[in-house]
Amino acid sequence: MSAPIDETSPLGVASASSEGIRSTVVRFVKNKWTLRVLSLIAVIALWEYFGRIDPLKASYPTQFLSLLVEDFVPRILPAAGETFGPLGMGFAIASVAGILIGVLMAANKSVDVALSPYIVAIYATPRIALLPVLILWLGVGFDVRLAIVILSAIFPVILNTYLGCKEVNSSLVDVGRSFNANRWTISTKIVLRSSMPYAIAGIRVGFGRGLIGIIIAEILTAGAGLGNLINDDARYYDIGAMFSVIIVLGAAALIFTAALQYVELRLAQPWRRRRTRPQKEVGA
Amino acid sequence: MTEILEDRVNTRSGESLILEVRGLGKIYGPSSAPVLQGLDLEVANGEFVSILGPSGCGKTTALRAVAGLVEQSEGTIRVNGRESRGPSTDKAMVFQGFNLFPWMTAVENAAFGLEIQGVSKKERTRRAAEYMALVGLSDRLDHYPSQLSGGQQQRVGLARALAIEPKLLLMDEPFGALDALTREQLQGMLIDICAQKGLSVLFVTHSIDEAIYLSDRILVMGANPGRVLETFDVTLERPRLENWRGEPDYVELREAAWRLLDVKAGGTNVGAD
Repeated sequence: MSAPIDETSPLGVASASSEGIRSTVVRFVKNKWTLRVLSLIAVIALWEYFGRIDPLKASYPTQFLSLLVEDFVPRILPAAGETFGPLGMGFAIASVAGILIGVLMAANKSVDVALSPYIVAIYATPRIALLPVLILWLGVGFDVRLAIVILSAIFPVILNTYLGCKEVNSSLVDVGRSFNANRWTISTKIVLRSSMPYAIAGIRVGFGRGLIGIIIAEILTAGAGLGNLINDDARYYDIGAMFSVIIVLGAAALIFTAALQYVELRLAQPWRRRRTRPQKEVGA
Repeated sequence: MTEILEDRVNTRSGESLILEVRGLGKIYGPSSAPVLQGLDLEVANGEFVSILGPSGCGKTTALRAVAGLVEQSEGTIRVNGRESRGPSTDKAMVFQGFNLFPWMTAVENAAFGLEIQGVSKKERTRRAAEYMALVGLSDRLDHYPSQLSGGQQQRVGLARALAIEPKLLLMDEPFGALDALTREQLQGMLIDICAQKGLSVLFVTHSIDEAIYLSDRILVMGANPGRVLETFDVTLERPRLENWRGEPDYVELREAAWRLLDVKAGGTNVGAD
């Protein structure tokens, strides 16, 4: 900024330094974190302002955030356990079983032909439609929530794993065969391994579906869990408390999805883990 | 042509043959034309044999049949005196498209054949690293294939094949996907390694120059059906000199191969690079 002024072209120097300031400002404004923080502040401010207009039907950030702090341990944490217990368990079952079924379908034509009509049909049907009958069969407790999570989460895993196995580069399978690898080794070390990024993407979608499933189940059965809290709070016009629960739900989902995305990326592109950069070939 | 072939069988029957193929035929369906018919070939111990032919003449199919990746419709394949059906560990293949596993590091790729054989991780990594050194990639052990150039990737492919110490090395246009300069570097490296290890190689190419430069013997194939048109011994002395293209033997051989491919194969798809 304090560049000596060149007598011959004072204008040139002045415009160059203001150019510098401008480009710094532009870079600051266009930085994605600047934008994210700014938009967050704007959203919170607007919500705070409009939320206070009708406190009975709406809430505002300062209210539900203080409620979140107050309620977290006594109220939200136990309910979160009730939700994430069956969600985690169902999700684990759906992931393992989904990958197994997907691999079996890809490996065996008969299994594929026999199962695919059902899988496609059930996948296309909203699984939520089964909830009333599931409640009839399994009651309103842990079982029905586990069932809806599995039903919601398993199909994306099956279909993605199946697709991933079918997309395996046949030249890589040739490598396994040429080294006299048996069918099992080829299936696990080559076909399954190269389809893992697909499977994880399916698991990520499945997690989202499972979460939707369990929250709806909890709202419908009014038994327990975060869904039940949300439903209760809304009925008692306790909108601030309701939003404090939804915030927790959203944050948990966000963290878990990000973790899965990380695993997916590492499986698909393991070299990103290391700090080695591609290098040009040197010499012969 | 048949006399030449029978002659060859007789002259070579005394030596120890690593590969002996008799009457190899491949037909994909009852109504389709045969891809291969009555193909005879052999590779003696320490010999470098090229199959030269235009695209679609069945040379790769022949190689894949020897590798056990394709089942022949007729004929026998004997490797090291024993009838060979399907893949086995006494032969190893180097692929045109490199075919490295993208999720494995270079040394893990090179160790893959040993991994299949159940060699412990420590031992197979040590042995694979030796072969990585042989192909000049000691400083790239922990790189992933996507971080390597095409030439480097094919060196890993070669190290992977050599690491299981096969009796017979099968190479399917291994340098076809590389640029001209890298190709020459790798050809030179292959010649050195062959001399050092005494390898027996069956090499498929559509490049006349490559076949002449590398081989002890060249089988020229024609298409429809795929069969051996003629066999040439390469009389150029080893080690082949920098200016090997200037030698009269080369010019003569090149002329003969070119004429054969041009006339019998209809002059299409023949690479002269």
